[in-house]
Amino acid sequence: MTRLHKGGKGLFRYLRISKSFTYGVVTIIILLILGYIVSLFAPFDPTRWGKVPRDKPPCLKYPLGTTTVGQDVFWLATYAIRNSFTLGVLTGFFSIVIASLMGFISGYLNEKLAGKLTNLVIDSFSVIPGLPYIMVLAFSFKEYLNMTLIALFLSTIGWAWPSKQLRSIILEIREKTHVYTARASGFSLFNIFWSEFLPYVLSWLATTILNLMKWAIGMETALGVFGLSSMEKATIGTTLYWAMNYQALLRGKWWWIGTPIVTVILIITSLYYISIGLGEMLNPRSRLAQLRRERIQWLKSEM
Amino acid sequence: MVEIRNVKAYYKIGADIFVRAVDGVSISFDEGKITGIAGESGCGKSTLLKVCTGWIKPPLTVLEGKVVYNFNDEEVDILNLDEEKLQRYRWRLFAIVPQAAMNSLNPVRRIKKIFEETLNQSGKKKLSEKEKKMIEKVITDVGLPKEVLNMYPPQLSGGMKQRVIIALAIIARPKVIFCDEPTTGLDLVTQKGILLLLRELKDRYGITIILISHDMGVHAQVTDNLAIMYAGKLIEYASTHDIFKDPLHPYTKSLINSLPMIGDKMQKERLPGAPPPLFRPPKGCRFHPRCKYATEICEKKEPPLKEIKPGHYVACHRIGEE
Amino acid sequence: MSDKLLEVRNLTRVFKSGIYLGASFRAVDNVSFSLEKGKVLIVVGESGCGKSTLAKMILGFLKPTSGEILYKGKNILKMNGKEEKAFRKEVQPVFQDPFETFNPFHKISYYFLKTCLKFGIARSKDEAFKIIDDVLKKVGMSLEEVNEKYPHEFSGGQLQRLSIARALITTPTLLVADEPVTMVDASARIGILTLFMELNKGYDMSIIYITHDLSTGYYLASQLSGEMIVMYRGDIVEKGPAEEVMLDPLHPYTKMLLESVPEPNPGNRWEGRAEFPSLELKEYRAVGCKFAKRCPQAFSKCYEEKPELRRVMKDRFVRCWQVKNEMKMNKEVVSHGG
Repeated sequence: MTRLHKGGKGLFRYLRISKSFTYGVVTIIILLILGYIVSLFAPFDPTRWGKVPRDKPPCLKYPLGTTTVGQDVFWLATYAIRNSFTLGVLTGFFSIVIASLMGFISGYLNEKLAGKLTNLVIDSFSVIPGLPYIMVLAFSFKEYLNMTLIALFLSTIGWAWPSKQLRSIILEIREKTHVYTARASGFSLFNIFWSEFLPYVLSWLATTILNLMKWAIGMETALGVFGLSSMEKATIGTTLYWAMNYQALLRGKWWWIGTPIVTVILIITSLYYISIGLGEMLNPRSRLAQLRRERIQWLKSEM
Repeated sequence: MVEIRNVKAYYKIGADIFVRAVDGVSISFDEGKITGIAGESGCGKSTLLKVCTGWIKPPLTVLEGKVVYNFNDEEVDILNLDEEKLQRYRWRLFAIVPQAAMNSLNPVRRIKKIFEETLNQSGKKKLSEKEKKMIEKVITDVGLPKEVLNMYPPQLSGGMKQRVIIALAIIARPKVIFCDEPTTGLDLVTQKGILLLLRELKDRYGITIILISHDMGVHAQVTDNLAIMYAGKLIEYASTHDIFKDPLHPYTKSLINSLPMIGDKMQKERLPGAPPPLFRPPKGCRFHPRCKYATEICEKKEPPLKEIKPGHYVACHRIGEE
Repeated sequence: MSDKLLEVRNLTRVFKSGIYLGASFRAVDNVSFSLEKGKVLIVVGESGCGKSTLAKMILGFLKPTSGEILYKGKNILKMNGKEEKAFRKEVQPVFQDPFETFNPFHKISYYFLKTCLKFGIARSKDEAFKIIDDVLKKVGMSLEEVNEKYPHEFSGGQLQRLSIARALITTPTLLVADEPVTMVDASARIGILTLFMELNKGYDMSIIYITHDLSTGYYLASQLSGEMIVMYRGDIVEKGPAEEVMLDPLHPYTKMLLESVPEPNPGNRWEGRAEFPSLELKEYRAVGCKFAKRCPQAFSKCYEEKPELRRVMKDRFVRCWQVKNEMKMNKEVVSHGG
C-alpha cells in the first residue's frame, strides 16, 4: 500500500509542476463527468429526432444549440463523450491484453520457436493499414455495429505496434543481471515478470493504454465521417456525419459541426498530455533519481 | 605545466546538500611527465579532471580555486575564461580522453569523417592536403593501419577504438592530455599496448599526460609521478618509485600492501570499512574512521599536505610529527 | 557414480548474428573439464573468449548447442522440476557487475527474503531475518547496516559482498563467480578474495572463479591450490594446476598474457614497443590454430591444422603444435644424455 501512497504523492507533485499535465487531467475529469454523470440527466434520448425545435443557435435553453433534425446538441455531446470513452477504454483493454502476451512471449522466448512465431505474427499484423481495414470490417458488419464491436475490431490490429515496443523492452531487461539474480533466488516466471520487469513496463503500459484510447477515438471519428460508424448511436463520428450530411457548415449552423470537432480535440489533447505526464513520472530513470534524492534527504535529516 | 591551486568543486544535489567531490586540492603536474591519479571510485578523480579541463556544468560548481596552465611564458587560469576562449584552448592546449570514450564514437560516421569534423572547427568544407597528412600521420602514430580511416566504429575492436580516441586527442598537438581510465574494459594485452603507446607519445612529443586509474599496476608501469586521492582530498603525492617503495600515508600503505602480485604467495590484509559518503564526510582527517593509527587530533583537525621528503608530500598528522 | 561434482563434456555454444541467415561463431568450442568437491577452478581469458557464456551454461541460464553438463552425475538439461530446484539451491552465481546485480527499485533485503522463502529455508519472515543476519556476518556485514537500504546506498565492494551473501543463503555446494572483483576497487578486492578463501577452506565449497585479471587468479591459486584453464576465443588452450600454469606457462598465449599483467612494481617496467592484436571476428572462424596470427612462434602447420588439447606432462594439457615438439625434444635430449 505504501507504493500506491508514494505514487499518489508523486502524482500531486507532478500536477503542480507541469501545466500541460494539469490541463490534461482537469479536462479529462470534466469530460468524464459530462459523459458519465451529466448524461444520466438527459430528459430524453438525444438521438431521437424532432424532440426539440430545429436549427436553434446556442442560447440559454439549448446551450449548444439544436440540430436540423431536432436534437439537442448538448445532450448529444454528453452521450457522444460517453460512447467515445467506452470505446477507448475497451479498445485499450483488449489491445493491451493481447499486446502484453505477444510482446512478452516474443521477447522473453526470443530464441525459442514460440518467440520466433509470435514475432512473425506481430510483424505481419503491424503492417496492416489501419483505416482501410477498419472500414472494410465496419461496412461488412454494418447492422451489428456498436461500441463494443468496434472496440473488438480495432483491437485486432491495435495491439501490434505496442507489442513490438514491449518486445524490445523485454529483450533489454531480460539480459540485465538482476533478472539472473532473481532466477538464482528461485523466482518463477511470473514472479520475475512482476518483480523485475514491471517497474520498467509500467511506463509503457500507461502511455500505450492512453495512446490506444486516442487512436480508437480518432478511428471512430474517421469511420463516422464516412458513415461507417454505429450510425444510430450518438458518437462524435456520427454527429459529424449527420452535420456534414445536412451541410451544417454551409448553412451556418456552426454549433452542430463545431461541437464534435471541439470535443474530439479536447479529448485527444488531454489524453496526450496525460500520457506524456504519466510516461515521465513512471519513467524508470526519473523514478530512480527521485528515489535517490529522497534517500539522501532522509539521510541528511538523520545527521 | 598545470597547477591546481586549492580547488573546491562540489555537486549540488539538493537544497543545501553538496557532494564534496574535490575539497581543497592543490597539486602541480610536471611538464613532459606522466602523472597518475589513483584512488577508489568516488574519491573525486574524475571531478578533478572535469575541473582541469573546464568542463563545469551544473550540478557541478567550482566554489573556489584556480587551475593555471603555464605555457609559452603565459599563465592562463581556465576557470576564469568564458566559453569562447575556452573553446580555443580545447584540443590545442589540452585534450581529454574521457572514460569509455570509445563507446561514444558515432557509429554511422566513418573514422575519416570524425577526424575531419574535429579538425574543422572553423567550418571549412574541404580539408587541405596538410590536414589530410596530419590525420594519416596521427593514425600511424597510434599503430593503426590507414584502412581504418574508411571504416565505421562498430567494425573496430575496443582497443582500436580507444586508439582512435587517442589519435583524435593528439591531432592538434596539445601540450597536455588527460586520460580517464583509458584501459578499463580492454583486455590485458590491449591494455599493455595502449599504456606503452602513451609512454611512447610522451617520449616522442614531450606531451604532459595525466592518467586517472584505480589500477595501481597501471600506475606502476607507466607513470612518473603519482597522486593518491581519498574522499575528495589529496593525501599523498610523490614519484611513482617513492610511492611504491616507501608509502607514507596509512591509506597508501594498505593500498600497496593489498595488491596481489604473481609470484608473491603472502596472504594479504584487507582494509576494513568503506570510503565515507562525500555529502557527509567525517570531521578532521577523512581517513580517521578506518585508520589504525588514528589519534585525537586526527578526529578534530584536517591534516595539511606537507612536504616530508624532497618531492614527497603527505597529508597525515602522524607523519608530520615524526 | 563418480565423485566429480561437475563434469563438462564437449560443451559448445554457437551464436548467430542476424536473424534468418547470419554469420555464426562458436563462443564456446568443444570445452571439457571436471571439478571435484571442495576444489577450486580458475578460468582465465580475455573479454570475449567465452568465459561468461560458459558460466551461464553451467548455471543453467543458457542452453548449450551441443555437449553435456553433468552435476553430481546428472545431466542438467534433463532435470525435472524438483531436480532443477535442488540444482538451483546448490549452484549459486556471483556476477560481475555489483551495481546491476540488484534491482534498484527494491530494497536489498528483498532478494534475501525471497531466496529464504522460495527455497524453503525459512518459513516465516522472522526466521528468514535470523538466517540473513547469519549470512551477512559471514561476509563481514550485519543486518543492522543493511536493512531498509537500497542498492545505490552501497559501494561496489559492499554490493559484491551482499551478492555473495545472497548466494550463501542456500548453503550452496558450488559457487560460480564470473569476474567478481573486476568492477570492484583495487583496495576492496583482497577482502572479497579472502572471503572466497574462507568459504572454500571453511565450508568445503567448490568455486569456479572466472577472471581476466591474472594477478587475482594467481592469488587465489597460491592460497587454495586449484586447477586453471586458459581460454582463447572459445577454446581451452592450456589446462593444469593453477600455480604451475602461472609460474611455468607452456602455451604462447598464456605466456603473452602473463607478460601483459601490469605488475605493481615500478622497478620492473615493461620494455619495448606497443603491439596490438588484429580484428576479432576473423579469429573465431580461422582455420587452423585460432591464435596463429598473433603467435610469435607460429609456423606453417599452425595455420593449416587446428591442434588438439594434448597431455604433455602428468597433469598439464596444452593445445599447441610447438609445445608437443618441445616436449618431444626435451625427452630426446634427456634420453641421449645431452
